[in-house]
Amino acid sequence: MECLYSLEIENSSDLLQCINGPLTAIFNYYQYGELADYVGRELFFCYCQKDEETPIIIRKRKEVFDELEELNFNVQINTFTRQDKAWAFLYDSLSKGIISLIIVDSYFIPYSLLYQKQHDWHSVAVNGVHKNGDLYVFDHGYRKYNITVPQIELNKAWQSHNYKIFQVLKDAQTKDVDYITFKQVIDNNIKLMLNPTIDYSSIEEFDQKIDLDSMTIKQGLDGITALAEDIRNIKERKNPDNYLTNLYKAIHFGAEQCQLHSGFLKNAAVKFNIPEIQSISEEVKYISQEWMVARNMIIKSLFTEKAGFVERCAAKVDKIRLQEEKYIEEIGKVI
Amino acid sequence: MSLQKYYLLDLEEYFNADGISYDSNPQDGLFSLSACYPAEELPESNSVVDIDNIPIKFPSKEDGDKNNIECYNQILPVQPGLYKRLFVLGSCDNGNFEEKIELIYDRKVEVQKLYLSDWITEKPFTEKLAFRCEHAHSRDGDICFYRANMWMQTVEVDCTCQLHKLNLPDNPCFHVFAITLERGEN
Repeated sequence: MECLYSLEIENSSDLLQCINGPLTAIFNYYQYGELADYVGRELFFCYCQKDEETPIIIRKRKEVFDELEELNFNVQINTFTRQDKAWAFLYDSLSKGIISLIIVDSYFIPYSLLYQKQHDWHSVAVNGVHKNGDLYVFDHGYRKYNITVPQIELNKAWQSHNYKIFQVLKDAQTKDVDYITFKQVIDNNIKLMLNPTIDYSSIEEFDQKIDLDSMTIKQGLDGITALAEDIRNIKERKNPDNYLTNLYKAIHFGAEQCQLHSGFLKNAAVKFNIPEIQSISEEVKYISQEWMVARNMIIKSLFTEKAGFVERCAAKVDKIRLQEEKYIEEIGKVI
Repeated sequence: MSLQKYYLLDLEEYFNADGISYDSNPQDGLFSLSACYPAEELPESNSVVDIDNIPIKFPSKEDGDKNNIECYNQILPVQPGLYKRLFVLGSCDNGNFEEKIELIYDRKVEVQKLYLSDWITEKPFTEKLAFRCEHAHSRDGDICFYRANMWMQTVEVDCTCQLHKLNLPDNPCFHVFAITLERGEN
């Protein structure tokens, strides 16, 4: 298929969240890979807490776009009522080398687990367009990179969220910013991006950070036990499916936070040349995947007729608790 | 391809999912939550196929037949013996997964990483592409804009110990269609 514009972006992100993932890939595309280490860095291990009113409370986290704005980036958000204008804007941005994040409804995304099953907010980066109008999409949330999606499908998904489009730029007048200018804009801001308050320049600072994180994880262990119990007792709830949907979100956050932590450890291992931390980082990454598997079990329990997924999910979460406990011990030995 | 060099596991009694359907009955299988492989583009049911000189027993594609293992810590007995390599024909739904498989020998248990990529990904891990279908099936009919892949992954086996069993991971998105073991020296 002939391609009009294609901006090759590679997944190098350790982040799971659908927005953070493509953002870090975009930063890499603009050769500011180091930025990827900082975006979302402070969003450590938030575990759920039990509450009868709203079954699961996840500690309020800072939105990544708020964080970027604090770091002097301008996040341009546009919505369109007219389909033709929305697409013209998107194509125009691509022709200028600007990758956009668009907000879509998973219900209309053909490869999504929720396709034609459940509406859910989701975001993808659009990084190319074929001559026939089909799009290249970078979807970190569903781990589909540079996948082709027919325009007609993406249009339905995007339209559901009023053609909402995000771009990370400096000036409000971004329409005329070309690729080179965009790079310069980022260049001017890069020093501000490397906010010293979230840097760790010495091994002592790293030690302190790990100590603090270990305490947070330790406090979170009881939360994981409670989560497993909640899953196990789901049938006692008045509306188990709704409750499961909340649990699904909590579990997703568990995965995300482990991914962040794994990335942090990996960077530190390189920076301070400590190979033991590299292998621990791999283990934490695996724990993150275990969270994802638990999350998928919830989805399968909601949308398939097969029995047993809820029980398996509870057992998996129990296992994750042990793995996290082991992690605290392991990292304690190294630090 | 010498079949004597290989041991093809019979997985039929362990199959617990149907991930393949014919055009005439797309509702038959369900690989991911909403789609599955098209039977017409895959090898004959229960045939032995050659993938890069490795024989693989392809499962039944027929309506109503189960043809893959949705992993749930199943323990698969193997003909006790010395083996060099393990070949897994499979794929994942909802992402690429790096799982752990236990190789249970007579004297030890070894945990090996087993990577399998998503069935419609265009960026797999390091597996060989075993089969590529030019479309997939949804429950309502064809999905023409995805290519459905099946991968073949290799795992090294300790050929100095007798292998007795394999313990699969616990991941319902991890699907195994066939397993072949390459025999080591006697």
